[in-house]
Amino acid sequence: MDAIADFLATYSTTFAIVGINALLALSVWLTLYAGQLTLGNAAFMAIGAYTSALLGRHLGAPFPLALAAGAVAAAALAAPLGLTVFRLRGVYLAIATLAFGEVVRVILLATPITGRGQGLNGIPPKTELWHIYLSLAVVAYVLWRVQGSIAGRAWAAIREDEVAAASQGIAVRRYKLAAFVLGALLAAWAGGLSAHVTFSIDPNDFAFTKAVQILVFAVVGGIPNVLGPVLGATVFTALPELLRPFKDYRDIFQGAILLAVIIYLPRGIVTLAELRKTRRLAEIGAADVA
Amino acid sequence: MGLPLELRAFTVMVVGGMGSLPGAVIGAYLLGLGEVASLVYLPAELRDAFAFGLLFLVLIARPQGLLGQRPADRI
Repeated sequence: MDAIADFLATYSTTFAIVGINALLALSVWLTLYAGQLTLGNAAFMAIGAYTSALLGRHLGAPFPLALAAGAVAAAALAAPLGLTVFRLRGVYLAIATLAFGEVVRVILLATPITGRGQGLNGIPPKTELWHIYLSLAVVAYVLWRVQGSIAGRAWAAIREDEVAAASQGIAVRRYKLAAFVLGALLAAWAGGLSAHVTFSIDPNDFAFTKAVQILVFAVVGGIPNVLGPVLGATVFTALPELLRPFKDYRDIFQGAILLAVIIYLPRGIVTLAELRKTRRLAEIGAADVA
Repeated sequence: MGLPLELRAFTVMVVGGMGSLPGAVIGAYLLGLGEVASLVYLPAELRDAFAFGLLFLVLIARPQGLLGQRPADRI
């Protein structure tokens, strides 16, 4: 038992970050599931982190309330943003949301109350592991249930063919906006949790690289179901720890694993189980049917 | 200082219009002059915000870029 307790104590920060990254991956999964590539989730995470930390510091807001306020603030910003950016499609949508993220970062860098380039330090470590994993369990369950609901099927229809979905009477823009706003809410919640784990935040924690990292978790894990992003976040957060013996070659190994997954499992790690089945079907020339 | 060069070049391309050579030249001047002007008149920290603000506005108001051709809707 002592060994287990030691293990948990040593790696509790890693476990916390794994859970937070899983939440972030699920936040971008929402829009990806509706077929929309957005890169604004790091910015929403920043909004959640800064809002909750500042409310706690200056107004003494209780932790759950501060987290919720951060999430609501991000959603309130995501709604008007979504109304404008969803006039764009494909890569242009990604660029516009990326630009939004960079503007948020630069504003954080220039505003005195957010501590400019130094960020905020000495944020109280209020996040417990169970906060993160309870959030993750609830969110994953809800999203899993949503897949089979009217909204879930509408998102899938929009992903497969927007025009066809619209012609079936699906309110395409409303469903896209809903996915975007819910994603922002979730990213901000995760941001608030993470700020109270890491003690300090600064604008560069939420830059372009963070947005891409979140996307990698989700895409490499796999979009077909909610397990994918959770798995992707777990693997790619734990990997630097697991590759510790390789020291200086860690980045190379990590890059190689990323490449291998993209090439051999283009639909994500979760499709690993299906791989053999597909191969068998391919041998008898029936892959298209599957 | 400031944005990496690729991101700037990318901004210029999108602002001017993908596939348009005159658009790229105009976009480059617009970004360069605008950035320096924002350095003069606004706090220096907001320099990068100008490039992305411009990118964002152009994408919203004129997604095909200043001189780009609007692609036909594919159905």
